[in-house]
Amino acid sequence: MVWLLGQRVGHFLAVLFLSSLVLTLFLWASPGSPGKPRVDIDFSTATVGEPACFDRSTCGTLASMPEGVPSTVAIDVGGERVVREARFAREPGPGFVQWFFVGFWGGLFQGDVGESTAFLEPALTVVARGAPYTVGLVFAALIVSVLLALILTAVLTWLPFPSLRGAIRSVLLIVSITPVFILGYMLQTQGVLPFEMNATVLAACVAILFLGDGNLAEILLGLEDEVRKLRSRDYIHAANLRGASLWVHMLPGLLLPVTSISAAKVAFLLGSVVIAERLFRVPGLGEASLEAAKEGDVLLLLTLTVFITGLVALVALVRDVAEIAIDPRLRRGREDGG
Amino acid sequence: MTAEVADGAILTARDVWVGVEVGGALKPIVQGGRLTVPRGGILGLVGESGSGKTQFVRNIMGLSSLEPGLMSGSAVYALGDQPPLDVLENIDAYSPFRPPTGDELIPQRQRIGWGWPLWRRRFRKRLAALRELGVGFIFQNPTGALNPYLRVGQQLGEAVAVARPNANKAEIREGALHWLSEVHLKSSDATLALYPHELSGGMAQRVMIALALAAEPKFLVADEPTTGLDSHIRREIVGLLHRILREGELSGIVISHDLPMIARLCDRLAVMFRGKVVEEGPIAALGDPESPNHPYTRELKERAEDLAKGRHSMRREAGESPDATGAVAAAGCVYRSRCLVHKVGMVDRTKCATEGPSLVEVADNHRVSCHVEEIDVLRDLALVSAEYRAGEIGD
Amino acid sequence: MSALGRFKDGAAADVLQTVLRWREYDYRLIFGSLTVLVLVVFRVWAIFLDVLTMEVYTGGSAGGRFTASVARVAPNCAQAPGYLLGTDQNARPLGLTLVEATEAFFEPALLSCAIALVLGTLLGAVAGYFRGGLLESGTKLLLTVVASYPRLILVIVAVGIFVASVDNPGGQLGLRLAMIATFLGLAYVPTLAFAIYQKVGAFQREQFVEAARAHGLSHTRILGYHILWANCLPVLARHFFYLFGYFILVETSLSFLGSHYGVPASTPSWGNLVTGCDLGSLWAPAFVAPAVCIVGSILGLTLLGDAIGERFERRRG
Repeated sequence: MVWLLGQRVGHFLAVLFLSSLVLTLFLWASPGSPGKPRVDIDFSTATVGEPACFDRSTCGTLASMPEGVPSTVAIDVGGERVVREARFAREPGPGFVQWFFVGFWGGLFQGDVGESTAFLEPALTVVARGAPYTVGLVFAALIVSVLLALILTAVLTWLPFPSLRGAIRSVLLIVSITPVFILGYMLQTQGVLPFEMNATVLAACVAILFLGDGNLAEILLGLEDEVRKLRSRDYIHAANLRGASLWVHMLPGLLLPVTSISAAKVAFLLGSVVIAERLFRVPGLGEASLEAAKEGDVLLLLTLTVFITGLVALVALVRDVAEIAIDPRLRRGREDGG
Repeated sequence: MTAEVADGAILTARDVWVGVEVGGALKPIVQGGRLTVPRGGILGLVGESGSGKTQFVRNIMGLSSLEPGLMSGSAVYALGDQPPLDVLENIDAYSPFRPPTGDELIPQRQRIGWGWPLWRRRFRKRLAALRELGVGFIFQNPTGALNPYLRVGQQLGEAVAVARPNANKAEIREGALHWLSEVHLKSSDATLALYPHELSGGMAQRVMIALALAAEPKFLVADEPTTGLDSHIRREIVGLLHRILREGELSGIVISHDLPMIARLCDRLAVMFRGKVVEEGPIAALGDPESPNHPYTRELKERAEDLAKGRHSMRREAGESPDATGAVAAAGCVYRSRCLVHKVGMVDRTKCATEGPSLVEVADNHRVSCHVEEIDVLRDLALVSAEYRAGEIGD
Repeated sequence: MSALGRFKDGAAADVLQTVLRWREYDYRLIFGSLTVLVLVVFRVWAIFLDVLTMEVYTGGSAGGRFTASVARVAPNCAQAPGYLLGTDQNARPLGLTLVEATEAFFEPALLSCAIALVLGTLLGAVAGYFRGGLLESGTKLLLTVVASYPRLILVIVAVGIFVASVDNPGGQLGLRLAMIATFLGLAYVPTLAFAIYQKVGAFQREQFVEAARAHGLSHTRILGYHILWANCLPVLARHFFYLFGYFILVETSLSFLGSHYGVPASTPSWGNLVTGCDLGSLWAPAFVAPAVCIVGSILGLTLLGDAIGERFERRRG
């Protein structure tokens, strides 16, 4: 069992590391290499002949110090002399490996990955500030949607009229498939306005999150399916016949799909939360990512994404652990020749 | 309509219709099913796969997972000192389906009465009352019938606790160990600690039998108890069941397509073919060569003989796909394409083609569903069959 | 009541039964097909409008696509005589603007679907067919990694990269939409790949694969034709429609968020039409019409995907 758990934790770490690696590679490989940090040349300490760039594609060696008004600088790019305003001159920046492992991950462990150009403060501070809001909203929405789906499943199973069941399901589907932004906008026109961060606003956020973008419909569909399969299992029938308590028998069979569905939904909700935060001006991670995207602040985007994927992978790990704990077939059983 | 209760019967089922909705169309699984289990006796329900035998019994015991499942009929249990209990009381008045009348072949939809949900509630209450009286079921697939998340001890202990509500933990454990030894499993804490996936097929089957017995039932149903087991384990399980059913003075039903096992365990016989009960009678109908039989029963007997002698059964006649299973909603007798009597022309073929036969009494408490006019034809089926195969009669 | 009733006899019934497996009214199939029809008609109509006003397809920032080719009708956000739905926030007839707006998502959605289908099928099929090796576990790990990015976050990262890489981020709308489409397609790859992986894996275990290999058929032929083409097309069709609907959701959400993310306010999109007008009540056409378009198209496409999946996917056992 320890080996199994260790395997799962190893998988989690691998996913966490690889997700940041893949994204960073993408950012570095994109045209213009936006992933590479830009460092302005400090001309008080610079010397002629040291490496310098004007932008990501024009790199060479510094040929002259700033002169003239406006002050211009010359850089030797492969034998050719390029002259531009001094303010565009930059240092070439670190290599990928050095930056990714030392700069980024090293910085993460030390608590400083660099400054966010969108917020003009350390990127980690932005993440730390926004995390409680986003994590709170997402988990609140998840819990509400799972509970509501369980209640609805019970109601729909009990309801003996198939046409009524179908009608309820259709209405729920239509309401749920409405995008989050339309639901939020409708709430705003009804007076729920984001002028201050109060309980109503946060509740509105949770409401549109658990309902919209198809969230509730998908959870309900998945759960209904699982419950129907569970109720038709012979061991439930057998327990019923013996007069045994059905709850004891249905609980593990229900807990597994609930954790599985929840883990899948967390990633989905983390996407929808972006819109909810923008609508109601909640200063969370989604809002921060929108700002970062607007300004092209790639470092902050990377930090945010690593945190978010880490969260998703962590939830997946919790689900894996829960599965191992509940289902004895997943653990290494004794060899039985019987 | 008051339900019929046969004399001295612990279970009387009449006119039971069970169906399932597949892609918007209604498929009948059991058509007009009929069963009589005598008190203290065991009924053997025989038929090939797809004949509806499992669904028939499961539905009248409340173990069905079909939609809509039960549609009409009556199933009266007379267990213990309680007055007879018809679990399907009044179903015809509220059910979304009514049995076919006249030229109709399948049940017809009717408006769902507003009383239907109430009927369902009452149905569940009646089933709960039935369970109080002591009813057990041994499922076909042991791995499916054991909760994979709980240990054997937990599940056995639970069954013991229900039968003896005032027992303490030690007594429950004693009880669980006792039932383990009753089914010839190692009666130890190690066995109790096993999970179902750690059991072999034979062990799982025994655990399931133990679970059924631990509830101390008066009425026990065994659904294909030996399917999928090795032959030596099969012999042991049959011996175990024989001991349990005799010693415990239980009434019950054994569902199987294994004729020798049925002959050994049961007192009465019912044969089903494609959703219909075609023969109902004493167990002697199976073994006694003088006894009249439905042609299908004859076919089953011959196949069992072939199997016992190691002869590969090639008796499938042309005109019928070997994969055809399940009930059919067709006019006339469903068996006629395979029927020996029909082939040799000893019965009015137009009747077979247009009218579904009803159960006709051919001997004392022995009914067969066939249009044949002379009962002696059914008695001499072995002879007819031999002559047919020799080419002496028939087309 | 079965729709088949009227066609009970004859060839039409046979065709309906075998090809479409039509037995009863399937409202999802009807509604979904209608949705697709309407979307295609709108798109063609929008292209026609562009051509009619002599707009040239340059895909660039000035002129060409993404500038509204519908004339203004004063005032804005009001009922206008002769126009059923009134006007939008840019004083154009709302009905025609709704039609125009399909250009914001139609082709990018197709791009997104193409990327997801090609990559997803490739990765899923390879992982499902060549089991038990580094290829399978490596591919599964890669897919899990990609699946741990929330899709909308990846799209926002796409916008961020776009802004950081391109000199004039406000101008190149076509490129921005293409980037969003690409990233969304990539984000959807794990879902499709896992579906194909399961299907291919189930078939690969069948004996006919061994028999085919013994007969000398190449892996490509077995996988490409016998497994994928013969059996997995409904899966692909289903996910195609799901993704198309999802793209509409993403594009309208981004356009709603503002000009920096989706299409700018001057370009018609259902997303920015929803909030364009300051309305007294929620029942005004300026809100209801685009909202209905959005919800209706996403709903129709999702239902169509469900219906196709149920009807045509072969269930085992």
